[in-house]
Amino acid sequence: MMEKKGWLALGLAAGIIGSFYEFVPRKTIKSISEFLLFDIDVLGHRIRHNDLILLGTVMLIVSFVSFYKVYRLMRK
Amino acid sequence: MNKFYSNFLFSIAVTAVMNALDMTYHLATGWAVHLNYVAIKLTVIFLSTWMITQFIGVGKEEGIVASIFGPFIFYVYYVFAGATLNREIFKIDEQFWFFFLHAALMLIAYFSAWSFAKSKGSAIRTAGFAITASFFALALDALLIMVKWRLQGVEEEAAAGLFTFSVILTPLLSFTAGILLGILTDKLTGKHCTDVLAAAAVSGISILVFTKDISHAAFAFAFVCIAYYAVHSYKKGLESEA
Repeated sequence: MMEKKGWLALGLAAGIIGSFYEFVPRKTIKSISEFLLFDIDVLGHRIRHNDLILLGTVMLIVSFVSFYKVYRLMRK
Repeated sequence: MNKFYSNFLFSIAVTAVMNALDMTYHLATGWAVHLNYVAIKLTVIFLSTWMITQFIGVGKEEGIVASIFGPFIFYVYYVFAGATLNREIFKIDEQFWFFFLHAALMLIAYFSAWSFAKSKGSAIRTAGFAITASFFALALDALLIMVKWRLQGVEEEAAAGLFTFSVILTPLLSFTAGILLGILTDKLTGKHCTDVLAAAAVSGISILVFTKDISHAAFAFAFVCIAYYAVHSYKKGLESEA
């Protein structure tokens, strides 16, 4: 099982990626990184703006749970 | 019982019950419910609940945290996602005050599911079971209705217009009656198989009588069996963890 540092690193990484896709405007993301899951087909499904927002949301959930885990490990 | 499996079923139950309560409220008050938004809500609420349950645990504190965080992150999604339904025709639960409603419904869902497994009081356990099992089956039934329309090629906005409270009222009453009868059968006979069969049969038959749709009735029968299986399975798992 991961220790405190591992959870902290996961929380930070997921938080940064999640915030990027969730809060940065679409035009900015597109101009920075065309390769970051934009305008490509995955299993015949066109990746749209809302799919990226969902990806960001999932990463933010991972980030929150990681930080919550760190808090619980610190409380022990 | 495998810890992962029981946590998974517990999270599925909480998510399904929360969404069924939410759909019932929305349809009763004239807000639109459609498959895409329900799918996102199911994903976000399930992931929040499952991750907290799997990596942190099940309990009062975890329940409160999941009930606040799940609806909050769902609201965040709404704020940043692009609109897919015409807002001039359909009212969608994207205002901030819905966060409080979703959190309250999530609290009801989480603590109903939790109290069935963990509560010491028999009446609370029974109430927890009744809410969890009946709304679990209702959520599956509502999904079936929406997926059926999608497969029949009904357009997104037309499907949102078709889905009214009258569509969900018969399943709601049928599942509630079925589950209550199942509980009564369990109290009278004490045999586990009899209560599942009684609950599933009553739900299926009443849906058949009101809708005249035999496939819907067969699915209703199956949904009650699935709800019973899921609820009893996660209970066993949570009890063995304690």
